[in-house]
Amino acid sequence: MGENNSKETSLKIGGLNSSQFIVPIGPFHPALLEGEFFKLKVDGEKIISADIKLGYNYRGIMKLAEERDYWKNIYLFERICGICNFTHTLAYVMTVEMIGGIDIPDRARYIRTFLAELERIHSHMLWAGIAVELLGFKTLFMYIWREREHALDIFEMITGNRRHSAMNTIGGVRRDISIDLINRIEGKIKVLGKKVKEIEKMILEDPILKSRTKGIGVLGKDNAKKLGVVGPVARANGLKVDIRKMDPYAAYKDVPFDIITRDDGDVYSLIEVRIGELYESIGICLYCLDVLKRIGGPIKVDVSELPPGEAIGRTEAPRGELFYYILSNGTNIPERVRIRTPSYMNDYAILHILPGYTLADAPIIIASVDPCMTCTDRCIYVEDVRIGIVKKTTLMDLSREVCGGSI
Amino acid sequence: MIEVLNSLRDLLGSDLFDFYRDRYGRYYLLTKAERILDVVGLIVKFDGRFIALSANDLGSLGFELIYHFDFSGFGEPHVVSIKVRVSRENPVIKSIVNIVEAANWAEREIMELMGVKFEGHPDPRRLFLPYAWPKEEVA
Repeated sequence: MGENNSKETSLKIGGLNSSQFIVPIGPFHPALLEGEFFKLKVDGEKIISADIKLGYNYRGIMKLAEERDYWKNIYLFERICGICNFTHTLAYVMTVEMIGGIDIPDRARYIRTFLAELERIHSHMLWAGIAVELLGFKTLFMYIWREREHALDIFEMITGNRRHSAMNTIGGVRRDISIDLINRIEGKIKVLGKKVKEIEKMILEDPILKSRTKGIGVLGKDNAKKLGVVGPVARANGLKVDIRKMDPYAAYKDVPFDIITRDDGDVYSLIEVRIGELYESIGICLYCLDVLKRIGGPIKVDVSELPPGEAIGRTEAPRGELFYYILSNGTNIPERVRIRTPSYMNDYAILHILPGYTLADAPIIIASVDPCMTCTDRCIYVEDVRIGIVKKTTLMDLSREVCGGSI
Repeated sequence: MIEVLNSLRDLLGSDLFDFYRDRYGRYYLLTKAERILDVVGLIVKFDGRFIALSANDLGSLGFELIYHFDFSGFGEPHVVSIKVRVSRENPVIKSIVNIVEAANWAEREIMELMGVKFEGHPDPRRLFLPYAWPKEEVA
């Protein structure tokens, strides 16, 4: 690719002239939270083109899934992402239920919806904290993360864990929520709602924050459509892409909520969309709790055998559409699992947003799409061992190396 | 949705080997690998959104590539999956990146991890593996 890289074809860095140079960011860098490597070609302060290298968190999870049975895979997929693990297991068990033609009880549907929304609340608040920290607001970051603790506390009250909840199972959920617990959770969520109002005022009405984010990092509706971005990034660019409405799963068909969209596509509208979704999520959570007070019944059905077949399951993860394709061969081990995470689509869009903005805006633009590198790098195939180019190293070997053989 | 399916049927004619719909509104089509550009061109015309590209290793039957496209209106969970097969000895197929840019990373991923070659890909580098990773033979 030549010197005159336009915005559309800026995938490789291209040659340099005398006033241009390359700024490498990563793979481990204070402005990035996970292992990824950005190569930015700059002219003075202006970014001309960008390239990204992935694979620093490469774990071969999709290949691992082909060696474990359906039940063990739940716990494997829970470990794809630390932030949105519930929605990963939800998408997985939903897809398996589709293969088996299993209908889950109503109570399980509402518990799943409630936890999925709680996860969205925690994830969006986590993002908001990181975004304001990157813009220099350290105290606000602490403040937002303190309120996020309410969401994690509720997770702990229901599941016993703050993050890895292990709630989903094929055919339903593993733990029930008692009436007593529902009443306590309801109070906590109402507190959370008040705090979100305060946070919204602090973020959206701050003149400095506004000037740092307004008109910065615009993707544009046409580009958004072309690159197939999903989740808040698509919605901030005016596309109504929301799997909760398009392909209703769990109890979303029966729960009232709105899709929040903005047309500007800049970082500011991404903040607006995510804060708007916080309100919607709190509304959905309260609605689900209300229903859970009224309906009883079992929380799971027994599953015996899975027929051969294939299915596609999708959920709206906090970052966008999460896609699972599972091919079953009738045994207790899946033949093939394909996972397409939302960050996989959105990270690619970063390369199209960056050119034209200054280097100082790069961290917030990169963070604005909420890139989740562990999601993107979950990845697939181990190299064929027969060719003999894979060196297998165990954790014990590594620790021996580091500790000089003392372990 | 019926419009899209009818146009696909008309376009493919006798090249449409298999076509079915499951109870969750997902459509699966099996066609020839040579027709993929025609099919994807038609889908783009109907505003289908590219979701993902999967690849199954079918053993001696070769590789099965599945192009998933989203046609969901609100409340209509339609996903159209176009399946094509390439042989194990010569796993080559035309790249769709020039029509659907969103497939860029997906094709790079399949290229390095399954060994399927996408002809005409504008940027056929490694995606997840290091750039210096040795070139593999197709087993």
